[in-house]
Amino acid sequence: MSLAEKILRLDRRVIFVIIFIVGVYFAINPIGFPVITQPWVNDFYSEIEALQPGDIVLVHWSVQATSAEQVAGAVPTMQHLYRQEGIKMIHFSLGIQVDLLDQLIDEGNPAAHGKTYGEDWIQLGYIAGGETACAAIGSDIKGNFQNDWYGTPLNNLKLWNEISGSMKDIKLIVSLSSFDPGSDAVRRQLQVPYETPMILVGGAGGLTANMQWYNTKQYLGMLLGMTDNSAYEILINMPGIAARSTDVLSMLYVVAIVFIVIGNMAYLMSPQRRLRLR
Amino acid sequence: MILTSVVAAIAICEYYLQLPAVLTTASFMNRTGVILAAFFIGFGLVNIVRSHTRAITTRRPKWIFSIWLLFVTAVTIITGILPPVTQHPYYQWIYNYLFSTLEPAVFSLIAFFIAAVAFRAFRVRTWESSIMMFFAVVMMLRNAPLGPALFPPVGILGDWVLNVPAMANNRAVSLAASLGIIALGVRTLLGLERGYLGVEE
Repeated sequence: MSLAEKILRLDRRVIFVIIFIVGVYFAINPIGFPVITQPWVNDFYSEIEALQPGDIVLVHWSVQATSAEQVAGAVPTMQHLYRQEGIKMIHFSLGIQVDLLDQLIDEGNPAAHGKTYGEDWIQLGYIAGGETACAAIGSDIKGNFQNDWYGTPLNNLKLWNEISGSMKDIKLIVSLSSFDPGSDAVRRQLQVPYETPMILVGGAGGLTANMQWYNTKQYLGMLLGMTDNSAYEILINMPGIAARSTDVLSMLYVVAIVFIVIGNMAYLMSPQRRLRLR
Repeated sequence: MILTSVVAAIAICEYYLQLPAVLTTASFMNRTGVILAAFFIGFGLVNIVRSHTRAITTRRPKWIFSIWLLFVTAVTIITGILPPVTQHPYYQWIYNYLFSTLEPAVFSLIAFFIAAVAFRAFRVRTWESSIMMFFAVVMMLRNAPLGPALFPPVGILGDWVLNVPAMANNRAVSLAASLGIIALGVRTLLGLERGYLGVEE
């Protein structure tokens, strides 16, 4: 068997081991490759920076443990929001894993930024129904919730009594979405009918699908995947998990490309290729 | 069928007619939809329990996993409803140290398989496959933070792919899907679409 044929029949476990070694090595020893900030990341940053004291932000979560890494921008986004003086946040989730998003909210440490629960932010938690739930929230936020996620009657919370329940109160929708029903449902039911400005944190896989909505200004800014999150962490001067992980991502792409090149060289030199040409 | 048509008509009217009576009715309907959706989560649980109980009693292949599924479901529900509801340390431990770690661990295996599949699939066998391979490599380099930093043309070409061919394709899909949904909606409103009632055409 020629070398080319041996390469073509390479056991996939060899590829698995190489991927593992490269991933672990660059996770432990990051080099700090440069990251390019995309325009939609700058726009995302600017939308949050433009918030004024008293502005109310509706934060939508469709996040689950499987794809939590895809929305690694959640924690820096929360920290960036907490840094905006006097803004109020109302969180709700279209996914049932509210414990996970509670952890992400806590990681941002609202108390350290002077944000008090009930006065500056509220956790409404999970609402069933996906797109229907979004429509219900759009028509009347207050009518759909009696208690917060922790069981406290919402009428006891100061922030809840300050809002009218109309989408006109909302200055910005921040959608953190890694599965359906997610940002598309929020965009269709809350952004389009009420023309509420909306920004998105999502996975890199959604880039091509979401670009069309960014170009039509339905999303005013986006953070999609680890690379965007990394650029954003640097923008807000809080380098975190995304900034540390981009070297791993870069090197894994490089390894995949190297394998593609080696595979093609072996294919071009292999007897089966020559037979096909004849 | 009449009920569906009336509900659909009110939902459409809510968007176009800002009349208080319509808005109140639509809001009530949306809230009803939310309550029904919450109810169906419980219904889904009943369905899973029934399905797996039947698998165990009839000794279907891999029925042992059904026992495990029912056991895990029961443990999670019981610890979840122990006071304080969903905040009990046992429930939190299951979520934080089992679920939150196992789920992404399984998901991350995809990275290994993608690399192995790329090695075998992207071959210059034909012109078409060569073009596909070329753009796959360009997009990989564009998405890797290192790519555009080292080779700026990769970023320019990748952005063009994203903003022109990929965008055109996505818009076509979105528009086609929207027109399809509108057609389905109109058929449902007119009573021509009865598949959801279990009626076969």
